[in-house]
Amino acid sequence: MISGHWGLSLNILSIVSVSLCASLIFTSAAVLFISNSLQRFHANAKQSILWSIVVLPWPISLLSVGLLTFLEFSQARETWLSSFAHWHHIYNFEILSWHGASTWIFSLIFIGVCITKIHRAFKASSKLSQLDFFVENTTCKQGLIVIESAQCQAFTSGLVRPRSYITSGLLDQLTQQEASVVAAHELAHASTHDPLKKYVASLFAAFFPKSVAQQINDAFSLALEQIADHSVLSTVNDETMVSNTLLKVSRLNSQSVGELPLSTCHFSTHPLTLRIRYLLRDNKGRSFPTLLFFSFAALTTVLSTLSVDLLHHALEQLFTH
Amino acid sequence: MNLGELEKLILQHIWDTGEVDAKRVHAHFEKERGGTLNTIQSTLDRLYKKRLLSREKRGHAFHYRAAVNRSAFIGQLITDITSDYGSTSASPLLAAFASMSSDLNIAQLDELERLIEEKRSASRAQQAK
Repeated sequence: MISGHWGLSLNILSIVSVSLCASLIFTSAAVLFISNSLQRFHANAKQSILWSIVVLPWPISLLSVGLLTFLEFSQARETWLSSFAHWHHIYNFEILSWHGASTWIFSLIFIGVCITKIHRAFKASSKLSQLDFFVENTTCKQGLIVIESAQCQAFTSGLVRPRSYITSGLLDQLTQQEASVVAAHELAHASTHDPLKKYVASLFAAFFPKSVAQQINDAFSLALEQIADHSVLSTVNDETMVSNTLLKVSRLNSQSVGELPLSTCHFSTHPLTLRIRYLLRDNKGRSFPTLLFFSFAALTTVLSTLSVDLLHHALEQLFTH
Repeated sequence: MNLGELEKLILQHIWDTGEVDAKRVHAHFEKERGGTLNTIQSTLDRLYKKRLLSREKRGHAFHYRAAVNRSAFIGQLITDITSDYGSTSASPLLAAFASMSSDLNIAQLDELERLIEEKRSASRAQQAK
């Protein structure tokens, strides 16, 4: 048994792990429920919704800690509220108990996810620095680094210092105006540090079940692409021109990549379809649903905090403490 | 494929000059970088094992040449960067202009073209009013 401040810290970690698990379950259910409705929102609102979704379980678990420890420390220990949510023996922590098990499992998952993500970031950074080395002294066109290659690609990468690239193969196939569209789109990604945003969002999403994380990452990526597409309109004020360039690059891209396995994504929900439809529609969609979001956050906080207590008692009924 | 600093320099040097042996590479890098012949030999050997160089024994020395040309190597690097980091369509470390769109078939791309044309016609009609 660990007592004192170490016991308190480990109990807090145990509450965080159980509450986080509960809030991830509730939020995942909400993601599955709203995934089809996301396209009704403005791309910026969609980005904010997805940020809120991926980050929400963490403040909720901290709120649960605050609530449960407050009830333990304060005079409220004997009130009606403490019968719904309480945490006994907050200064004593037994390693060989379910508290210990949940804390260890949470710690292992947390460390595992962080190591995997950091390793992936280093791998990406290493490949990009390799590319930078071999394309050194190359020309720049409209702010994009030109890579001598027959492939048809344009992309932005780099977590700390994002830079945009275009292959000479793609550049040769584009008109001056189309090249401006690609450049404005990629430079918009770089100026808003989109690779870093995607990376951080995917880090938070990694704690969700795999299929939900995939949905979040895809939706987040689509939102960033739509925002970048939309920002091009300040340079080229013609959405059909931007859409045509997008379509042309997609055709060139598919020719240079070659035959791919059949898409598992339906035409109407395919990112390219959604991007072009978003560009072409006059009404860009609804704004961030503030009231709905805060109601959901409050409900999830209550449910997650109650789940901690419920799980506590359910386990103690089935097993010894 | 992860390449060290010296590996990158030697590969670049071989692309620029063609066939080399360890002594010539060492002579080239000795002034600007220092290092021993042994280091150069083991770096060339690593590049050979990574299948970036091919080699042929002539007398007592190996002669190395590039097994992959520069543009093919850069092409592979671009493919790795744009399609790596998981099998997901949305790479978490990169934003590509049309990375997610290459798997639509011709008919579907034509359908999108029709949508764009419709919008263009509607805009023209509106401007004409």
